[in-house]
Amino acid sequence: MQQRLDKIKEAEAANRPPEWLNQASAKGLSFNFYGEAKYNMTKGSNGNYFDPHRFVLIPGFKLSDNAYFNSEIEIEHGGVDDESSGSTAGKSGSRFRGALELEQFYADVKINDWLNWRSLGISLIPVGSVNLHHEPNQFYSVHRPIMYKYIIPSTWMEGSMGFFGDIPQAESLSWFFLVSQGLSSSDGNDSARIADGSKGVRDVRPGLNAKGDNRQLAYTMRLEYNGASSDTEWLKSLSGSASTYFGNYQETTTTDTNVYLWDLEAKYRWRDGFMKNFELIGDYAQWHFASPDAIADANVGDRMFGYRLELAYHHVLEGDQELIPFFRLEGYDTSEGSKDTNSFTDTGSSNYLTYGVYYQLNRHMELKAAVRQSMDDADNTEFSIGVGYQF
Amino acid sequence: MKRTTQLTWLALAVVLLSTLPAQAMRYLTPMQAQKLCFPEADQFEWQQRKFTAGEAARIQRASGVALKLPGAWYALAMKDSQVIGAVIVDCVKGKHEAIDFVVALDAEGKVRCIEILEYRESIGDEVRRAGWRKQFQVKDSHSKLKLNDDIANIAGATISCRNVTEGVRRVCHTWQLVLRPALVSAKRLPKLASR
Repeated sequence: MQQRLDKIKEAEAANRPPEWLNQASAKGLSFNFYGEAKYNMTKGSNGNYFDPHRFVLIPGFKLSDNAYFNSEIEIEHGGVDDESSGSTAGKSGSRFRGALELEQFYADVKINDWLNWRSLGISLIPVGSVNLHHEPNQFYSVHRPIMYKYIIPSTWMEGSMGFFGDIPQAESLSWFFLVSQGLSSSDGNDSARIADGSKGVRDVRPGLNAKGDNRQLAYTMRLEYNGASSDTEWLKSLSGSASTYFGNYQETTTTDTNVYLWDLEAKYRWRDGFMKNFELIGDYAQWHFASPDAIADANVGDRMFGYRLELAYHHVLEGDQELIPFFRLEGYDTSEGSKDTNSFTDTGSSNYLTYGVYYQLNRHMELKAAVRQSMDDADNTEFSIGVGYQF
Repeated sequence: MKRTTQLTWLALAVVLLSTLPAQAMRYLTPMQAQKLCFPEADQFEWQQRKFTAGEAARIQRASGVALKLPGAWYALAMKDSQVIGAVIVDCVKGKHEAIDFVVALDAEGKVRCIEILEYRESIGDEVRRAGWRKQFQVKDSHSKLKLNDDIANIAGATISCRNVTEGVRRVCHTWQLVLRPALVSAKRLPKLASR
């Protein structure tokens, strides 16, 4: 009798999850990190310099059975000088000239598989894969692709709220809709306008607590395809997305224009055959300005665009190690199209060959070396080495 | 449309959504998963086994994946008192949080299916997609089970895909090196012909 009771107790105990299993998936505050440091050798006026570019802390917390809090706190270029603005800029003796940013700050609430709510907070604008996923192991070059500087001004985050999810009955497709602060000229500040050259739309990302300007909201819609779930073998290696952003940009209190950005990208990685381990990436983004005369810069027309076409080869080594030589054609044009009636001067585009080697030591660390060779101006060519971490 | 009107519509949408029943990120219990994986089974026998140091080292060496758990919690699927397979519970880390899952193996150690029990984050949960999980079918401890090789990756969910793939590899080796031999010793499964 005792033996039977013992067996029943044993069976009951076995039906319950062991304590060590519960401990392994214990809930609580999670704390993660990514970062990248670089040494740049340039032919231009910047010379050679070290840059502790990004140091990012990522606190997260499971709020409930269907809600997750996510955030990113970023220290850029080494830190912040608290006297680095206004007339005292750079006079404090501080060594820091960087930025401290709250880059993400929101909760995602799952309603069902096809509908999640992203709460009011700070969220990445869902245009372009590198803006959404920009840890250093998400691109092979030392710097992010250059179209993600002037055309898609990565890291592009805004005060926002949105919805996302899978598309019902179409397992490989997902969507994202975000309402955010619009672009802003910071109420006529000359240094913060849509401009040609090494500015593009980068300076018109609004201050996260900007008051009085960016009176219009902006809307972003993204549709993403991931073929890994497909039954068709060749589609398993294909992924891509189409995104569009539209809003209004007010340059002065009397001039404004509707603005539209769209981005198309695709990635294919061969998993067999003679192309096995080759990866091809294509990405194109374009701005349209409905009333280009509202933009004062005479070199800005009604369009801007950026592109990249990239080929990489994954030489798989022992364990998680990979050596990835890559070659990329990339560029941008912030002076394209025409004005309505104002005079317009096309200053041409900036195009680069970017090539180098990415070495993944393991999933938490990678070393990079790359040349970004200007096809237009030798002074814009640079060689960089970098190290990236994510854990 | 004025900004205040736009915000009113947005607030209304959020209020309406809040009335919908929310879905928890815990999708299945192990008991539900066992029935999904072995609908023909007429009995499940749950067992726990703590690994010896030697067993843990062999699993790690063979799979190339570090052990996260000190043992295995699994159900033997039975039909007419015969073991027809096993459902093994494991967990891996996603981007930030743990992913609980089960791997169902037939008696020979081939993957019948995997099911995600609980996915705690809002990003990377594409590993729940049935089409992606289907890739694991009939894989076993002799398979590579390597992302971007015999298992396709989902861009944007790479960490979850890689870690689940490695978790499945670890489970296959655990079955082959530890759990199955124990059942053979207990005369509950026949020896496999060597490959």
